[in-house]
This record gives sequence, structure tokens and C-alpha cells, in this order.
Amino acid sequence: MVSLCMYFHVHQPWRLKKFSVFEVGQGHHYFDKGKNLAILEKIAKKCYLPMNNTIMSLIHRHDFKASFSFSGVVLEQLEQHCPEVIDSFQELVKTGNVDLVDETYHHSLAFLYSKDEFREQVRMHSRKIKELFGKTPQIFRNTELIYSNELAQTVEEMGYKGVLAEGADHVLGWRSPNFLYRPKGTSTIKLLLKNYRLSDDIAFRFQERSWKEWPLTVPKYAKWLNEVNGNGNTINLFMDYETFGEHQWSTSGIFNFISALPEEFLKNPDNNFKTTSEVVRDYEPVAELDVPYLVSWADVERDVSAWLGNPMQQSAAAEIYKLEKQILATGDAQLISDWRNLQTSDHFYYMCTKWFNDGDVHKYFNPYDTPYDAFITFMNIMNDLVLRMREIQKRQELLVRKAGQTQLLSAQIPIKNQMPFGNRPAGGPKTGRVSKIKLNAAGDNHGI
Amino acid sequence: MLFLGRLTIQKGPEHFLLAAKRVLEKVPDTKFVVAGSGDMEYYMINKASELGISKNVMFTGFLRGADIDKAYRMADVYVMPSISEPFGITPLEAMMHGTPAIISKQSGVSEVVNHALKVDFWDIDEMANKIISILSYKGLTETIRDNGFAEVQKFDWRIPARQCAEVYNSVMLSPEVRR
Repeated sequence: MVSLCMYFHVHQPWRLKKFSVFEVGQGHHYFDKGKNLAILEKIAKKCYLPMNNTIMSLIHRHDFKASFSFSGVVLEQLEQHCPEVIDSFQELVKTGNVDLVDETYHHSLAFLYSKDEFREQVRMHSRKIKELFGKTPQIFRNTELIYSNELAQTVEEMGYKGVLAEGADHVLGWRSPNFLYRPKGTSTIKLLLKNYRLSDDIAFRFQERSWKEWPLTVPKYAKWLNEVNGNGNTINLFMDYETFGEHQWSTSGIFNFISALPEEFLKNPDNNFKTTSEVVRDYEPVAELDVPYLVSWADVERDVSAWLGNPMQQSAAAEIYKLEKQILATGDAQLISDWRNLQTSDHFYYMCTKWFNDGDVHKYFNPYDTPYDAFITFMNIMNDLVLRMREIQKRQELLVRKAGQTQLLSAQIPIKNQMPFGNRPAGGPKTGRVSKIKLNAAGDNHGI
Repeated sequence: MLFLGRLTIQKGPEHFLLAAKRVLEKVPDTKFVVAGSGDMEYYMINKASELGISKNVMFTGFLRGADIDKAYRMADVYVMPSISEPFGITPLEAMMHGTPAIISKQSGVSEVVNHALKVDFWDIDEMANKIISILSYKGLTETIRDNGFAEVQKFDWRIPARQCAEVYNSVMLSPEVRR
């Protein structure tokens, strides 16, 4: 018996608009709405909508199952601009054959810098999924499958039953990714590992003509899947949803491939499809797995060097998280939201210089000519954010000072004239002070 | 901030001064060094005073030998704002000295170098934006300096010299020529 567990990740960042140092202190619009929505519309047309249709038909024909995670950031963009895509995902979830997986709302690296901020972003994500799909995910995947023992321990505490990670060779050694494992230092949570060979055959190599297995036919791939039978419980195929129609073009035959795969796979009566939650429900861990260092699903290194590999990336990330306490203390909803959207890992990915030597553009939909441009824009915007934060802090200090003065003044005026809501009933507060001016959640400057 | 080259129209020295003016609005204590001589020398000196930035601009005249190395080493950024530049070897010299280079996209060298900041020579604000970024963001300076230094090692006079010799040899030894 072997189960095929297909998990798709859906994410698009709020890309930044070009922001010069001369705009610092004047701009405040950081995100290139026009460009982001144009990209989103294109992906919706080429990938999300046709692939959702394909999956819907597979569910009806073959009891096909799939699991998804969406970043909160892409859901926001879809809600604003492509609500028909949200409807289409909701239809899929309603079939009961689609499982949802939690992640950080902002597709951020928060876990590496602040556990508090990480937990908050996961809670935000969970709320968003509940609001849109009426479900509360039981499974967690961290941004870009960044994982370690500590991550598993943290999300176990948060109540998750399963967690996803890359089945990297340097983590597994001789072990197989086709079983569940128990992360070191945990007692209940189960670890699902990506079978990267079989996943990447589809996600990266499908249309690669120089690949010796090209063209990848359905019978050939089904044969590879069947080889796992008897030597594993689950084949975890994890990939970006944009694989279908974007990374692999529809002309490559990727949609036909995925449409025909379930029938071929189910020819073996031992085989079935399971969602991530079902895999966790139905299979037990075979052993403990110790992952003391961070692994991810990116690049050949499978580490965090794609986001934090050079001094630009390290300083940009460190600076943005250094602001945490001060930004949150302002209580200013817009400021906090901008700060969080700047945490999206893609901004750091665009600054990567690892492969730039070969003139390779690191990522699909990269809005910058060079990693240096990415960094300069990001830093200028962050400096603008800091200026805004200081402005708000100043206004708030002024308010507190004013409130103090009012209190001082009120001590000299007879109490009865001070009641803010007319006469208080007997037994009410005797101090008779004017109630303190409170800052509301948005940090509005009432009274100035 | 260093400009090093002939002071003639195709090297774009005036753009260097215009960018300097913008940089000084944000980073008032920046010093700009114009090294080289040419038909625009007096024009440049006048232009600096007309822009009100003479105090921050130094003209060294024509430099040679060890003074050139010293200028590159002292600079935080090397700027090559050329209007027309078939290749442009000075950015490579700057990178060799560990100095980040900002180069005109209209130069030949901008097609073969990755680890330099590139601007359109007419985009004064963008040039200033990049100069200020190098002055302000340590992470940027470190990354571009290290990568630039590594990248520049691949340029070697011996390679084009050998290729050139090969062309001569192949022509000289070809049957048509020998006949």
C-alpha cells in the first residue's frame, strides 16, 4: 500500500515599487499594486483557474486528493483582484478531498528572528483560512519549508499534528522520505518529508529537453511511483502550485500529464491518494529524526542561503526585525501591516547574489535588474517606515504629555464640573479626574 | 566619491557634479574628487562653483602611477558616468582596489560586469540614489566589494592577447594565405 500525497503551495508577494532615497519621508506607498495585480491576473489565467478545473475533474473521476497552503499575502491579492479564484478554491475545499495547511501569513522568515512574531503571523494565517474556507488546519509548513527540530517543537506546542519539511539527503542520510518521522524533542507531531526526486521531476525537469528522461510520460512516472510500493507508506510530492502552467508551460503538456496520472497510478489497486491530514492520521512515525540545523527546499544547498546568504540580506533582515517592539508599540494598524509585508521572504530572495555571477536571474517574477537594486529599494523603504514610526511616536508622546497637563489642570478645578458623562452615580469613582486620553488601536491623534 | 578620466564631454563629468549636488542634499559631508585633465577642466571648476558645491569638490589634475592607485583606494565609490564608452576599463581598476563602482549603462563594460551598480548616464537622481546607498548601507558595500573583487579576477589581458594571436595565426597558416 502506498499513498500519493500531493501538496501545493500558493504564494505571490506584494512586490515593492522602485523607491529612491529622495522619496524617503515622502512616499509611504511601498507596493507596486499595478504590477502585482497584472502578474496575479496572468498567473490566475495560466495556472490557478485551469489547474483548479483539472483538480476538480480529477476529484470527480478518481477520488483524487490534494493539499494546499496559501500565504495570507496571496489571498489578500486574490480577494482584491481575482475573487473568482478564491471561489474556485472554495469549491475545491467543499468537496472534502482538499486539505489546508497553515503557514505564516506573510510568508516570512519570522521563525528565525522572533518566535512571538512568528506565532502571531501563524495565528493570523489560521484566522484567515477559517474566515475564507471555514476550516482550521492541523498541519503546518514553514516558509520555503525552512525547518529544524526547534520548528517542530514550536508548532507542536501550538497544537499542530503534522509538519512538512524537505527530504534533503544531508538530513535523511540512508533513510527514506517515504515514511513519517518523529522530530527530535517532540512527542506527538509527525514529520512529512518531501520526496524531492519525484517532486522535482515534475516541478523543475518536466519540460527540460536536456534531461535524459525527457519526455516524461505518465506510464514512466507511474512506474517510478510504483517502485516505492512495499518500501514506503507515502510519496510526498510538494511543489509550488505555479508549477502548472507557469514554471512548466501548458504547451509542455503538464496539464495532460497531471490529468492522466491518477488513472495510471490507480491501476495498481494497492495505491491511493491521501491528503496531508490523512497521512498523519493513518500512518505512524517509523523513527526519530534529528535536524539540528535549518533545512529548506531552496536551491541545491537546501539551506537558508538563498535569503540570508550575503551581508545585504543579513543586514536587511536583521534591521527589519529589530524594529519589532517599537513598531508594535505604536499600535498603528497601517504601519504594522506595512512592516509585516516587508518581511515576506521574496524581498530577501531578490537580493541573492549566489548565482548572479552566471548572469542567472534568481527567481521567476523578479522585479529587479540586479540584487543590488533589490536591496537599495528595500532599505530606502525601510528608512521611510522608520521615519513614519518616529512621527507616530512623537505624536503619541505629545498626546501623553497633553493628557498629563490636563490632569494637572483638572486638580485645580472643582470636581463636579469635570464629570465627562454628567453626574456619576453615588459610589462611583471619587477621584473625579478626567478619564485619561487613551490612544486608540490605530494610534489616531485625537485631540491634536 | 571619485571621478577619474579625461574631462571631456563623452566621459560625462558634468553628470558627476550634478549627482554630487543631489548627494549633498542628503549627505552634506561627502567629498568629491575629480581626477584628470581635459578640455572641460575650467568648465568643471566653474560648474562646481555655480552649483554651490565647490567646498566639497576637489580637482586633482592629471594623476599617474601610484597616485591613481591611491585615489582608488581612498574612494568609497568610483563613478563612471560616461555618455559614450566603447569599453571602459577604469571600473575594473576600481573593483580591483576593492572600491564599488557605479557605471553608465551606456558603457561596454556594463555588459560584461555583474557586480557594479548601473545607471543611465542622464538619470542624475538614480546616480545620486546609488551613491547615497553605498554611503549609507554597509551590507551593500560589503557585498558588492567582495563579489566585485572576485568577479574582476576573470579579466586578464593575456586572454584577449592570446585570442588575438590565434586569429593572426589562423589567418597566416590558412591555405589561401600560404598560396
